[in-house]
Amino acid sequence: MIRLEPRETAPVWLSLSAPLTAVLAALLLCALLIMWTGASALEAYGLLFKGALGSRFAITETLTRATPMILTGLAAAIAFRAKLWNIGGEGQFYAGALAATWLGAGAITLPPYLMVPFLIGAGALAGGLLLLIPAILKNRLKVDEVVTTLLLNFIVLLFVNYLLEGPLKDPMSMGWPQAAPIIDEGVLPAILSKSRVHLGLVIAVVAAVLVWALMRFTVWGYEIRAVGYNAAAAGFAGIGVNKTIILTALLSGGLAGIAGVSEVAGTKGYLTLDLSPGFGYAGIAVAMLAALHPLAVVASAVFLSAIFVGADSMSRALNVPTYISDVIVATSVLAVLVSGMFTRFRLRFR
Amino acid sequence: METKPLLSLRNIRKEFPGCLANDAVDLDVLPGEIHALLGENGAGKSTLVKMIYGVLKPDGGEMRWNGEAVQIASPSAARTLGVGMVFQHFSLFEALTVAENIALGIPSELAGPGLEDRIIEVSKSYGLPLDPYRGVHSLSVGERQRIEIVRCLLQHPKLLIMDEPTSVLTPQEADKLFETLGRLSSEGVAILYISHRLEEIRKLCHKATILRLGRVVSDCDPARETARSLAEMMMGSDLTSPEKDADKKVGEARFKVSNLTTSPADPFAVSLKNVSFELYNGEIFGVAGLAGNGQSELMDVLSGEELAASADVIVMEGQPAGRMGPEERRDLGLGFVPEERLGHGAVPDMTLWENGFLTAGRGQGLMNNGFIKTAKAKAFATAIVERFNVKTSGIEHFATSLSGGNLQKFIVGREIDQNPKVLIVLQPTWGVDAGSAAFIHQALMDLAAQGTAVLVISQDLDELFAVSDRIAVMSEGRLSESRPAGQTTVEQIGLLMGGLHQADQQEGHAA
Repeated sequence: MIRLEPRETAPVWLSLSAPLTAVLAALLLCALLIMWTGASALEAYGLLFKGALGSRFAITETLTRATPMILTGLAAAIAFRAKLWNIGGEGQFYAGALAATWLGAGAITLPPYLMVPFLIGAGALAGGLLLLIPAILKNRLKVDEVVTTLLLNFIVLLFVNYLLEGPLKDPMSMGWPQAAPIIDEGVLPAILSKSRVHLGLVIAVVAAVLVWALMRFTVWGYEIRAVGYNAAAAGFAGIGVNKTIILTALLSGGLAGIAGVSEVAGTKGYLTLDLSPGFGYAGIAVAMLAALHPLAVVASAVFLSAIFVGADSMSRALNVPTYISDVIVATSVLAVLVSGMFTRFRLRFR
Repeated sequence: METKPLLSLRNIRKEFPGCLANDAVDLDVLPGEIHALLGENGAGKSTLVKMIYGVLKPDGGEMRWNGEAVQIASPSAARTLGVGMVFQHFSLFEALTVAENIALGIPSELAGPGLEDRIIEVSKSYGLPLDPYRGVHSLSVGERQRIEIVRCLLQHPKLLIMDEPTSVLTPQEADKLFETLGRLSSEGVAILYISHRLEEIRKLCHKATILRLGRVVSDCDPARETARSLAEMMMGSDLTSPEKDADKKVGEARFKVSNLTTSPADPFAVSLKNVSFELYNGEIFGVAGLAGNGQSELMDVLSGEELAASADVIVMEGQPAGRMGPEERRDLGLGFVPEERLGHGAVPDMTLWENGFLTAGRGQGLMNNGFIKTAKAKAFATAIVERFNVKTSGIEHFATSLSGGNLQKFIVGREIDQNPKVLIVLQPTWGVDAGSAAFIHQALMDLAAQGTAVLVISQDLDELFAVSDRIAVMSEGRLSESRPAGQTTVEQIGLLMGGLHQADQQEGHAA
């Protein structure tokens, strides 16, 4: 008989090797699917790798795409730690992008060293305030935040749609539903020549380190974890559970909002309705794949981004549907979740 | 000729890690008999009936059904034999109708067309009015219980197990239930009836088996016993009074509760009625009583998890604290040890030192400008582990990896090491091995000797006699007068409970 036995501690080597093994297993499983379409799995993965990391251009594209996913991944990771199920990263992303557009497309002009932090702060505030609504409803009325955060995404998206067709529509856009571009002072500068990689990547990585330090060394981070693991014990011990949920909401929504600023002021330059191909939702997969660890979120976001970018070129060459990237991501997340069990438990055969 | 037992158990044993839940249990249930199973919480009643209903497997012993040896592998096997069970906490789908809920819990051949009519038929003939088309969300607790009973009856059981059925019922609903049970018994259905309410067992049951610490201590005819003698058998009357006579009620009371009354929203919770007591420096005040009589509700209000109706109901050193949350109360110098180690006292998925930080972080200066002083927090946890002899291979290990007794020592130690002015503990040694229990008792007495006022709420009389200076009894949400422990006997504890019941009855007559 096989039994699961809780481990007393999770050894470091296992915490690192388990998710990597899990991702490898997921890639093997997906190889079967690729072969089913008639293509060679080895060739497909070769092309995927080449498309994602095979050239300077490919690498910079992967990093550009990973930037918002690091931020939305952190947003999900910090919220899920407190068991605040924020599915609204997409809405908070657009709230941040909207705030940056509203203030950054000419309404206010500051020198660049002030303008950029100002737009980031405004975007974070917008995202945080948006998540505050579900958090307050959860605290006061026990309204399930999965439902409210998810539905708010559509409300925000429709609101952005309205603004882009009406008040915010750029008169110079020749009829396209897009907003006026962010003024030069507010644009996140490129950090690598001849590429789209911009300051947002640095901001995202710094944010990951800060979130890691917050969770590990501060009382706030401790309280977020304690509330997530056992809200009853946290409340009994005198931790303000509702207060902690509010704080978590502001941090989580704020990070997703910064992702929106980074995309609108860094990658694209102006707000459109297709600014995000689901970065908010991808953040959930990023966070799960990283087992909610803030530093692992960076690696996990780059991995997911590589899959997405690489799958495009693979499917062009081999006629394997691009959906395979979604399947790889989903399988990896599931595999990592299962592997998490092995870091907490050991198998005993008897 | 004597009737043959429908169910007979011989020498049943069930062991959980670190706890012998049932040992050498014999039980005979005759057809048509209403058989009470009595005992304190943790005495092994639930374990026993779960084995009869196939939820748990016995580790040893023999079960006979109509004289034939059986092994009941699962609840559905139990139902096939003719055993039905009504659990204390029901599992119903609020969004579905009565009939849909019943259909989900019975074999599919019974759930087919015409179920609604059969429900109406059964509910009429047993006096359990129930409309199969109503949504469950609109039903009272009593009506919900009827769903569970009707669900069992539809399967024509020969033995019906009821786990504390009246704990959620009004007196009128309970009387109705007794009629139904009487009717079933006259039709030959045996009923195994678990309850704490001694009076109703005396009225209703033909026979009672009393369990204590997993063993049968007595088989008796409850009608011939008094509530007091039953309570004594449950608690064990081999207790001696402690050698304590010095009156420590000196000076001003440090902590005062006056006329605390609650009306909880949760239908399973007990409401507190006019609870008043005072705690003095250096004394240990023990509150006895069978579990489920308002002890956890009292703890909730004292710790600040639930707020009292007004601030001055709870006064700490002259300061009204009734509307304060747990954090503010701890800041005043109150310490608490809750009942559930894993649910309330600790965060199982955090390390031991992080669990030390949980309640001690503010008071013990383990934080600085929002940062955790990790080294100091670890030193605090290490000190607890050493002083309280907690067996663990390190403070970096998860709290969940500790055995129950060791985690309890850590949690009690965490509160004691903070030198609270008032310490309130609920069931401090529940499920803890004897050695650790003795250690915890000594630690509580040492703390009191240093001047802390200690309140121990426990259903374990041995424990209360071992540590308390004064004792009072809690029953159905009321707290009795206190007596010096040195002059108290188990009989007097029974009398104190009786006094509470009289107060209840007088109130009932007046109303």
